[in-house]
Amino acid sequence: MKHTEKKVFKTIRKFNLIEKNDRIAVALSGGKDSLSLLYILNKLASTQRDISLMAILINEGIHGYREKTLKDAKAFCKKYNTELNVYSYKDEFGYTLDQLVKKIPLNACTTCGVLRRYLLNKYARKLKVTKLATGHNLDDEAQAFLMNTFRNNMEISARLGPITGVVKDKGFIPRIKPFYLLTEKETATYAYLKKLTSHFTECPNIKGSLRDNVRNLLNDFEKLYPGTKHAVINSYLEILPSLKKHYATTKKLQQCKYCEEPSSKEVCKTCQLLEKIKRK
Amino acid sequence: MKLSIFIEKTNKKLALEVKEGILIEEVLNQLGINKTTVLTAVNKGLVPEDTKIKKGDSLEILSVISGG
Repeated sequence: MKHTEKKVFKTIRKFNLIEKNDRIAVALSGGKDSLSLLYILNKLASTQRDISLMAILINEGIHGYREKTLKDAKAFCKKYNTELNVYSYKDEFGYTLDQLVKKIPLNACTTCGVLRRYLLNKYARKLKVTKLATGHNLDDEAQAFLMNTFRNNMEISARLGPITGVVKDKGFIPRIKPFYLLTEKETATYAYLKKLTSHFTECPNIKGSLRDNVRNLLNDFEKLYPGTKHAVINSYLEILPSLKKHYATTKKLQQCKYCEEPSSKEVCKTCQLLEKIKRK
Repeated sequence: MKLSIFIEKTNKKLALEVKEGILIEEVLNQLGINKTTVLTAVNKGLVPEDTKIKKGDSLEILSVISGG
């Protein structure tokens, strides 16, 4: 467990993820990665008094899944005396994710990602957070890079990495990933041994999705060719500076004409989605 | 020897006939489970996959895959 913690602190130093006086919000889902992340960052904050920590949880309203992890998240924050701010799709948009995907034909995962990132950024900014920490691990990031490659979405790959973003904009709170070099198995081992959670549950919407298929592919390759996942990430990190440079020159940010949140287009993806729903 | 196994993901219990001293990794292969996707516990204690099974051991297989 000390080894895992050392690896996380090393990742933070290597990529300069946390700076003096940072006000950090952990994007907490109540799952093994975000609970472990909050636990480890609490340890860091106890020795680095200039940084402050809180948690933000976005409740998508996924029945049979989110209720359990929400309970774990609340119990954890109470136990470790961490400020927890909860926001829901229902309160913000009028619908849970389950209701949204019933109302209009949407890819549940893509939609959920758009809406969750929107709310995380919006409330991180309102709470005057300087960094948003997510529990994305090496497996997640290797999958994301492959997914973007399979879909010819290199611009999205340019925005990812241990710290997200291509251009700096006051509207966007940078997202940091202290678990960037930890495998999913490492984070699961940590959470299990530290007794942070006994639930390693999958979102019911993931079955048959692109991510599910890419995950299975990567795991199969890792079994046959140990080190594959690390090789994918190292290859990505090697080309990332070039990707960021390339897309920085073409990237222009503006404010969405409806919600005034930062957007690459006149109307942000979230408002485009909400428009589609209104028309139904 | 009969090895008592609990697969957490499917909530299934089974008993597998194995040779004493078999590696957990070999048991996983027999069950068609990828070792990179699971944690393995013997008698409630987490162990690596190159651990040998002894008579009377019970094996728990936990999926590490979670979230969305």
